[in-house]
Amino acid sequence: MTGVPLNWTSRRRSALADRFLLILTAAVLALLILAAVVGPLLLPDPLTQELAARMVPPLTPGHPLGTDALGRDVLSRIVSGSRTSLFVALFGVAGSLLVGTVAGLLAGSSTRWVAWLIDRLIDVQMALPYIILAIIIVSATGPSLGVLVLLMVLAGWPSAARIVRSITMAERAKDYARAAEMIGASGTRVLFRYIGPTVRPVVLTIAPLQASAMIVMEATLSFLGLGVQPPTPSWGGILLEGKPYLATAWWLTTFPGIAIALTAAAMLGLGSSLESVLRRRRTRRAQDGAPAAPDRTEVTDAEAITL
Amino acid sequence: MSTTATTPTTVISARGLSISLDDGSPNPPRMVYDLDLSVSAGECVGIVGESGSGKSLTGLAMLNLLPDGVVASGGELRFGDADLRALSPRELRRLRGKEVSMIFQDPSSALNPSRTVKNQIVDILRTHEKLTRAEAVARAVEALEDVGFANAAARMDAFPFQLSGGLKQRVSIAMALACHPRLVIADEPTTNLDVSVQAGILRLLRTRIENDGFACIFVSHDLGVIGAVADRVLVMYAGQIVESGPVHEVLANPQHEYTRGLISAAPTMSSSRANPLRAYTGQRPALSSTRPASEMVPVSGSAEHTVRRLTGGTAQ
Amino acid sequence: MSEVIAGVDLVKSYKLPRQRTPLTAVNDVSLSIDESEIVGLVGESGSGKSTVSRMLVGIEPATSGTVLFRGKPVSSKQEWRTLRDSVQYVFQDPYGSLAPHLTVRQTVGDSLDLRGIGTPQDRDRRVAKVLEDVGLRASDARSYPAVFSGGQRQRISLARALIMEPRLIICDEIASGLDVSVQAQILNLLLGLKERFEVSYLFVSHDLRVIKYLSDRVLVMRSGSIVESATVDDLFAHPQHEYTRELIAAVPDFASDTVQFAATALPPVSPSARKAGPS
Repeated sequence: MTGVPLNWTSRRRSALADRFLLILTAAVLALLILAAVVGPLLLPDPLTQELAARMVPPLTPGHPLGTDALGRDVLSRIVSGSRTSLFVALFGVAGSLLVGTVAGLLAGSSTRWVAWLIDRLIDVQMALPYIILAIIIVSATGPSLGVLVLLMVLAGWPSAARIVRSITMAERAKDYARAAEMIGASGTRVLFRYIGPTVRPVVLTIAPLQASAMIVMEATLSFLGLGVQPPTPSWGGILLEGKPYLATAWWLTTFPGIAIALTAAAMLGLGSSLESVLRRRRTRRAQDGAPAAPDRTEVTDAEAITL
Repeated sequence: MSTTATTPTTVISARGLSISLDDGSPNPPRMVYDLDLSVSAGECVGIVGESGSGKSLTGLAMLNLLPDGVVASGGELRFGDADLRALSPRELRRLRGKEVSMIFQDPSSALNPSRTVKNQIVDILRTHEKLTRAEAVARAVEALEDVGFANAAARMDAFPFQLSGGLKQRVSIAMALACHPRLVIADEPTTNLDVSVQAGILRLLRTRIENDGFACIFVSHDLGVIGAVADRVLVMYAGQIVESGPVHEVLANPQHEYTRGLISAAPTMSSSRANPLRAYTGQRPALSSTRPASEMVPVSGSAEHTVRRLTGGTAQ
Repeated sequence: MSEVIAGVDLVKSYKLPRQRTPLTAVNDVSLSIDESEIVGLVGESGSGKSTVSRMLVGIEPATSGTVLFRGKPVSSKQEWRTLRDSVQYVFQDPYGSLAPHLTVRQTVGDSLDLRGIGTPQDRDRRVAKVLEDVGLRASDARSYPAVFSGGQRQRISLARALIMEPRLIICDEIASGLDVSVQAQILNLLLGLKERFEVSYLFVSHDLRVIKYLSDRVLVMRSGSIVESATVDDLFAHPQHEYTRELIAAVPDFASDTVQFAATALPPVSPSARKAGPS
């Protein structure tokens, strides 16, 4: 992140840029979500094969993005596939952050063996190549949407846990945590009641980043055949089916590719601009002076002390 | 004809100065109201007040070093003969460090952690005066010796992190005094230091003021420190000077309720359970509220001791 | 006077990386605090005074030495918990010692909440009472720490300590960094609370003036050891140790006739030849 510019006009300009980006990315994502929800109801059935209209190029009336080898409308397939991607990303992020936060808090625990265990779990998982892990799991359980979400959670929780762990370890040494110990709070209580809530804002800022990564990961897994199985449309699956026709029917791979990139980029942009805007608002509020009530208390014992 | 007594020259003077938040409105909220302040060569004026009194802003305003969004308006602000606010940024830059310098509460903000003490003093000297490097180094040694560094030539090659708080502050004083400024503004320079170290720094400052003859504005919240280092004191409360005068007079015979409250609340070596601290209670007026009209009136029996009294006129 | 807490031969040393000799912050310190007395622990930065105070409640584990609670050594977790039922601690930084997301009621009452003492209404009532005891309003229980000033936050921390009805409260520089008038209020509050609840204090500070005002007995620390221990009157009237005398002499005291300065370790300022000052 570049430093905050010192002069007034360029600071104003970057504040506007952040806000513009925020609105733009939010709009793009809102549109995507709208399309995912409403689209399949308005567009032709993605599964319908129209063998008479196979491999139709884009901008043909009735098929704005063309059709594939089985005559299925590409636009419908992409919009339909977005449901899968967004579903997986949403639940994947939620699960990953939940598990990651709990694990991270425990990793910062003062109970040695608990912290050690979590650390090793993180290490082990990060050491395994992710694709191998995915293959092992999918071959054991069979591919399905649920397994896909599980894989996302597995992919995301270590980085969330690491962030939460470092915050936890820093916060544990702070006075308010020590004070809680002093009045008798157990280690667990200090972690979850005192430190946990302070972790929440940071964790939320990584949510869009993880979502963005999960969009791409889901596509990758489906591309490899480990995700949702055809004929259920998914962006990765569409890419996979379009691969043999890269040279001849470019629209079969380009449009799903754009969809993946656009969605991932919009989520990233949303996360980054949201963080900047919130940070600005927080510092501005601090500058206006903490709304400290003046010490209005009349300490009557000041006069009452006689010795 | 003996000319031993020289009329003291006013180094800096402010009259009717206000410091406010620049929010673009025609009547911005003010943090300091109607400030009158003047300091002569060789004298140390202490500004004492609690948080929110505006004392630090007043010190910064003298160097025109106010933070972003804060402006000094109204009245006049003169350094010597020059109108401080009419100077271009270039002229101001030339003034700062050479004619006017500042000592901060935290020496880490004045010292560059990645450069040696020697290089930092040399930099300041060569920025403001035409010196060869050798001449500048010699002057740097002098500057450090003058702030009490034993074996300065050898110790100059140290980095700030290798020095204790007290030594760092001495280095920042050396830097502030290197170009023999006419005015030095010290903002709580000893607040972060141990009391024994503080005593040495205060003694150093007093000695340098007497020897070099520069004007000094010393901002502090600690009445004891002000009593030890200042000739005159300005007591600030809620953005206004409420009492002003020779330091020992004001401390021995305070006239304003706030000054009395401050003195009776401040712990001294004579406070005890039999002579308890009395905390005054009061609401600090909020920012931007208009103030009832008032003026500084002289205290009877004293030439320079003045106190702010309400005149019962219309709001300021 | 029965003894509440004592530290015997407390040592705290840190092993530094790449250094053969460890850094000793506290070197064989022994001290005790009785019921209903205020003991002032004074020292400059690096003296070890805060470390000692933390070792007494177990926030900082001692490298060696024992802490005695009512004459019995404290070592197991249960024994520390018992000690902390009677010995409480208030921290220096008013802005770091209250969890920002918990209301005053939650912060102050948590010691009761987690032990399940009484009904929720009982606990609410006790929180309200203790808030009033420290000079705040019962309605402040609903607010978050963000709306309170530094002095008020220290009162909240005191309330948190007080609600457990401790015999001893250790105050670590609790008034440093507060405005003079607010500091006076807090100091007088401490005296008032002692009158009403017979609580004793270990008051840690670097400010001799405050120590003189509050304490019955004073311990002077320097570089990890106690160099002098006396009643407050004796210490200031007849300081025995060289360091104590230096410290007293260095205090800038506007109430005295002469202002003295302590000798510094550096040679006195010798102005070199220079051009005459500005005219």
